[in-house]
Amino acid sequence: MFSERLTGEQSLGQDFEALSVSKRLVRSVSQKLKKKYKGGRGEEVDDTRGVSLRCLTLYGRGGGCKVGADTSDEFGDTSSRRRSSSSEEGKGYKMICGTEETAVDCFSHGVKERFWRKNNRKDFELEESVRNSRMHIFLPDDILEMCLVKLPMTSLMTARLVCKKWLHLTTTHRFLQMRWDGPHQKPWAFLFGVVKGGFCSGEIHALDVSQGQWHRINADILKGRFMFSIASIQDDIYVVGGCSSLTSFGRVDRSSYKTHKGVLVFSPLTKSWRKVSSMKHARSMPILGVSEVSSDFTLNQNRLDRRFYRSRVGGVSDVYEDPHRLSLRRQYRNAFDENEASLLPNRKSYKFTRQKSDQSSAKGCRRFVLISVGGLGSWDEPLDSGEIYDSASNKWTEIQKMPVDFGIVCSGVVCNGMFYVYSETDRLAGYDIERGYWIGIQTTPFPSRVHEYHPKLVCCNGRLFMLSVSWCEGDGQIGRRNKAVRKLWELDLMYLTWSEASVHPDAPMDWNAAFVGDRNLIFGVEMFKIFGQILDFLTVCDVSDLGASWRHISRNHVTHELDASSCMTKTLAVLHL
Amino acid sequence: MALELKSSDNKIFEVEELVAVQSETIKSLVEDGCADNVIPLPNVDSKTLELVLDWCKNHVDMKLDEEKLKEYEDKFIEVDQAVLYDLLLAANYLNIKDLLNRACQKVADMLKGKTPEQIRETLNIVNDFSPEEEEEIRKENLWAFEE
Repeated sequence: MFSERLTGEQSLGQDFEALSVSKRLVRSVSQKLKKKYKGGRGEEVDDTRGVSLRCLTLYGRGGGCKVGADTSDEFGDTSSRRRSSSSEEGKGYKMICGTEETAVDCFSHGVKERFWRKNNRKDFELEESVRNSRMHIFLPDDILEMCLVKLPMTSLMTARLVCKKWLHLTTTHRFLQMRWDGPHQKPWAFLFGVVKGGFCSGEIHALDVSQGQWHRINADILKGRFMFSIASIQDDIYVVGGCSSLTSFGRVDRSSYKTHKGVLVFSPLTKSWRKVSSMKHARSMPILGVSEVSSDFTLNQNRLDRRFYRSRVGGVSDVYEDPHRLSLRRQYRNAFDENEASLLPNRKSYKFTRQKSDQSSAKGCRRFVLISVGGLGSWDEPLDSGEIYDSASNKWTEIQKMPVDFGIVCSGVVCNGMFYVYSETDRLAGYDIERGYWIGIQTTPFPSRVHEYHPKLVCCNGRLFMLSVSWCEGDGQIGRRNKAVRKLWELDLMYLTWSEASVHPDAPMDWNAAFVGDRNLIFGVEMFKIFGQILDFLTVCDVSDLGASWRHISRNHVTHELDASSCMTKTLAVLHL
Repeated sequence: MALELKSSDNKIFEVEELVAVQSETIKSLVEDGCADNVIPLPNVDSKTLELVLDWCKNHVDMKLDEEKLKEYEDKFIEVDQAVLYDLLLAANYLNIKDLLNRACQKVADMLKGKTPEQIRETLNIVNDFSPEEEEEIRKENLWAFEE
């Protein structure tokens, strides 16, 4: 490589006419270097004298990062030299080659190079860097983008701190869209609703599943809010409803609290919060379902008639079924909710971005609907109403109420355009999103279950699953139920039959275990108190595997200092970042 | 069918058309009927072109053997920064998607896990943030890292 350089040196002078390289000086330096490197000592160059020119400088045209470099005193020349340190930040720099317009590109790694610069910028001598800068002045932005887009989330955050150009390049809408389109994203599990010392801490714990690394995000805006539901939609997490204590702000205080209608949206990529329209009804722990819809989707209007299962004809008067509807006190309470924003102490620590999702949503304007049903109302009463949010109009619309004998909804998930919901009394219904009505679904008998554990529905790649805790025949003792076990069941959507898919390895200690389906994976988090300690377990199952076996991805990470009430308030969402 | 490619330093490379058209740039020249004479590539020097053509040839040869190809790619991309840089620009100019992808991935791998200061040092980039700006961005972007 060196000899090549040396023979090329004759042409160097011509190539660098504009840069006025003195042939004599180049030759003399290269000769010196030749002597130096002949002994194969390339790597042993003395630190104090030489400069390590390891730089892949990724510039943009004009005005990108500039290279600062140490100069060496070794090649003593009569002209004076300036020593500038590349590591001194913000101290300014000197262009290595010639004029302001040409940004320097120096690219040599692992080989200590020498270059030096005269005071007169036009007149300088370079070695290896000269050969490089002859060919390319800088690495184009689009190539730099292509490299940065492949960075995992945490490295991307770091890259933003490198320099202004990198910050700009990695936060454009185009870049985020590129990242979404490619295979660069990995699943992240977000745990919300942890309670510390009686306070809803507003902490979000995020697990980078592929790296097995936890991160904590402080979300002051969530302080004091508990029993909300969350759903991951594209790049954001929607925080819906919930309660906050009226008497002692921040505490998980169920003696006196108000229930929210508000919906907050968290965007991890830009670590920002925004608000969207509030629901029509205040709800705590509503059951949420998300579905992407086509841009010409229209919200159907068959929503206000009180229909039960389609096979039934006739109905019962609304008044008797829903006395609260006519209650004045309730109306007043609803009005009260409108002012919820003013109840929050003035906090400047979070920022709202009021405009459309441009900045935070990398998916651009992919239209979706968010359905919110059930939950508990302002007086802790179970709600049978439901509403649907349309991202295109930023509006909530009431949907048909739950069938009256359906029971309390305890779990729901969207699968193939149908929002399936499961009730505490073991009923299954589906809301046809396109057509806008509920249908009852008769399946083969549900797996019998332990009464207190409400099954959870999850959807993976268009398949519907349910996690249910049941009694299991004891080992070697047929007929004796002495062990409870959590099993994963799949519903055949064609024949409506349940079949067992796998068994969860952990004893079901948490009746409020949260499970979330994401592509082909099901993530689960259990938190429970045992022997005075709170423990947490995060597990994952790949349903595309034949055995659909579960594995632990984290144990006891977040639970030191947490309160037992975290078990009840915790929720889980999964995003691809 | 053989094509002749000329590097920036005037070296001529003779390659099979099948190998050369891995480059979308060359492919479109061939399709437009402009490839009868020697194709000049003023932006690629002979050293880099040789490497690039080796990549293309192996991709034709090992097309069906994914494992072997991956092994080759991993070994191929173990080059020093100078060469990596040249490969990036050549792959971009010649529009060879898989080479460009692999080279960009190598750069990304180089940056992974480094602190901003380490990245700056590796790439000799000057920090143009003021301390206040840096603090603000740090707060906005870097989540608190625990464990």
